[in-house]
Amino acid sequence: MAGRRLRITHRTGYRYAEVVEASFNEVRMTPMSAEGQLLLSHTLDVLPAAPIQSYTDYWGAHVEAFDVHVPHRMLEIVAISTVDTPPLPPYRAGGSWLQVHDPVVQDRFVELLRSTTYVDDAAQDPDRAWIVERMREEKDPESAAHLATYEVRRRIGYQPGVTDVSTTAAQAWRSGHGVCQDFTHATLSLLRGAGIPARYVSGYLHTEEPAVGEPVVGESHAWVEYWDEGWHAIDPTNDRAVGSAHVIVARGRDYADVPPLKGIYAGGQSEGLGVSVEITQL
Amino acid sequence: MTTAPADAANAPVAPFDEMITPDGTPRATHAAVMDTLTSIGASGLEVRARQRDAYLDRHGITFTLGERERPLPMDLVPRLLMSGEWQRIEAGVIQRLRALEAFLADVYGPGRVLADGLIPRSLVTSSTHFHREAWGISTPNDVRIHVSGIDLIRDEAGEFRVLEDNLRNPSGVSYVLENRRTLAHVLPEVFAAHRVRPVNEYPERLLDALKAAAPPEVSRPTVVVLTPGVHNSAHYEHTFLARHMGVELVEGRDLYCRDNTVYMRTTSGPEPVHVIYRRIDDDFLDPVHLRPDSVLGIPGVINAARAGRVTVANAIGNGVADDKAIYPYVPKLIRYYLGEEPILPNVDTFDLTDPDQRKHVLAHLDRMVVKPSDASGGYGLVMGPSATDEELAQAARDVISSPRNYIAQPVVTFSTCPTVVEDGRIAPRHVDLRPFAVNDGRNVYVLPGGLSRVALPEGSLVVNSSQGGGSKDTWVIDDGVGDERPAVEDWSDDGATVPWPPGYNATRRDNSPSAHDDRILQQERQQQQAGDRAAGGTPC
Repeated sequence: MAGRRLRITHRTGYRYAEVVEASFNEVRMTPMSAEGQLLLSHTLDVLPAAPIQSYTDYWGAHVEAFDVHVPHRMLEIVAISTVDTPPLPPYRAGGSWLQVHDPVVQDRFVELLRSTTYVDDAAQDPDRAWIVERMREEKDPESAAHLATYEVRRRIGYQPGVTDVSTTAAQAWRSGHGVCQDFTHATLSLLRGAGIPARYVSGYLHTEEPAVGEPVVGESHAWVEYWDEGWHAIDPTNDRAVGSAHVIVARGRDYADVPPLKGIYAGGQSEGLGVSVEITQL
Repeated sequence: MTTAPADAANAPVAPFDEMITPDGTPRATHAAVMDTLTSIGASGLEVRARQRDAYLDRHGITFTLGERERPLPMDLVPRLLMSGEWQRIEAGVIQRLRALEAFLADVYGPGRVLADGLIPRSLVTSSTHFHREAWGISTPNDVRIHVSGIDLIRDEAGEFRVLEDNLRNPSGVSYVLENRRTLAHVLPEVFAAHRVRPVNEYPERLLDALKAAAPPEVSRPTVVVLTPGVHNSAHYEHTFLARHMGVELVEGRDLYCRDNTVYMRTTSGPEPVHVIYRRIDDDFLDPVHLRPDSVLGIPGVINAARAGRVTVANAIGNGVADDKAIYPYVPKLIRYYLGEEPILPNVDTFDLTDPDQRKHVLAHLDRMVVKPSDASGGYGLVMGPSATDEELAQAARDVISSPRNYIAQPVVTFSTCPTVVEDGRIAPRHVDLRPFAVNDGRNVYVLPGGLSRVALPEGSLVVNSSQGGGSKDTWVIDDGVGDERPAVEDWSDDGATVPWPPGYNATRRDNSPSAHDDRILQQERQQQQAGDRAAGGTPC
């Protein structure tokens, strides 16, 4: 699989029931330049217009912050990025249990091993503890990670609209339905339960097959990276290899560290006008 | 990291008395003051006490405890610190702050101390006050701890030790200034024989330090004091500091942030604000990044600070450095960042995440103080010797289920100072000391003296939260003795008979009336501290 040059147009809109006097927002929609992925250009447009401040956060994501102070009933955000993705990396064997469970490693990645609001410790849940047990019996963390993905996919069926942005790993597991965010959280729960450092990756996903010049409806996507003497990516939602179709934007402990958009405003109810992601391979 | 105390420490040790030496002779340093008090006599002191209460009442010097306001109980006997002792405290506080500043710059920046493995990363990242939102924010003059209150106690040997660091919103400094004013008013004659270092320059020093922290491009910075409001227990102090600095006292709703500039609403329109001396907790500061339900803060202020357009003092996230689980590592941090040996030692502390130390603590829980690591002050503290079996069992369960959230220390007996008790009698009572320090980026000013809090037990062993503690005017005396004096000094008792109040019964090592009593005094002190802090009545 060769690398791709992708142009991503990510539109987000909100409509408010009442006039909003002020809103404060942060956007994490800029693809990273790291590990072979190269950001070529990025623009962010907001309406009503506002000056944009950017910074790098604790987790290494590029954040764009802006506040809107003109009275408004609608907020529109358009992020356009062009990025080169690397080809699928060659297979690299992972490390051993001994290496992963080394106290130095466990302390270094402690934040990616502890439970969070979204990601509980599967080893503590009678419904999932047996999976963690079986993972630990696998010959190495890599096999355990594959088992985790297998069990998550066996348990959770892809179905939009059942879960929402606040659904936790435990809730998704119980409901048996979910979207990429839920698959990711559920997999993180199992991996961390088995003592394997693992992080949430937020980004975009292009079609499996290259499609040059053809705008396709893409998605804001989430997947998993786990550490076994190096980072390995797995995509539990699609069970696809993570390669040139995946664009990395942000990484963290769970969704709360990497939301594409978060903000507060003063005013009445808001209505999401939807999010669209269009990806064109150049 | 911690030192296991000798098991012999479990035998009660007499407290260090600041007026009477272990062999029963009074210290010459206290002679003049005690002479004056003796000549005033018990009945005279009762009169002065009433004058004091009237004075405090007239000036509205109160603090809120629970639902009611009451005068801050200031004891009439000042606490004396000789200049040699003070030099050591001052040097020790400054040293500690330099190391803690370096630590904060490090964990909110490159993280060298974590990469080097000096402190387990798990301790830092699991601190409830470690705010990743503050990562990468640099401060204009590299100061994060603009104001600190490092609590000290004096151990059985008379050595000052650090009990805890307060680097977020330490309060109590207004009482230091008020105590001096009050004592000078109701008991002017005690000052006659001594040159006492003044404390009244504090507001000016604080204002200078806050201005020095302003964004560098601002030539005449506007400073404000941000209070959570009149219902806060320290509101009196917020008003006091704003008034004495001559700056506005504001609430969150008086400020707003627009395009990374913070403005104050005034009758003549918006006015830019450059330094916010905030007396609200981190969690409430900015609903964009922290608690979204907070109405006390200013939406957008964290990014305004990140953009360097406003300075928040103290900085966001300082609590990671005064977390009690970090505290045992501070001596290491001093060596790591400064290459110096700590001047002020810690109190021995057990890291409960270490299995061996945890085992030792659980086996001796009835002789330990167990403290929640993220709470400030004595909130949630369990005092082993006085705890019920049920409380001990609960403490054991807590420690086992979440060792990171607790630390344990052997019971330390604080020093005692002469204090006016019932009937105008003078008797020893336990004290601690909170020296306040202000960092302007070039110098650290340590307010001479600080707040001495004194336990005022009223005969009963049950000290509930409504009783609170008292305080003492704390003097640093220019006695013309230089820095060559050691911290734990002999105080050159020449054996001369110096009058001291009849009946003052300091506990002596060789003549302890009852070892049991010492424990009780210590328990009361601790409980009281826990109680009034829990009610939000006292500092931090």
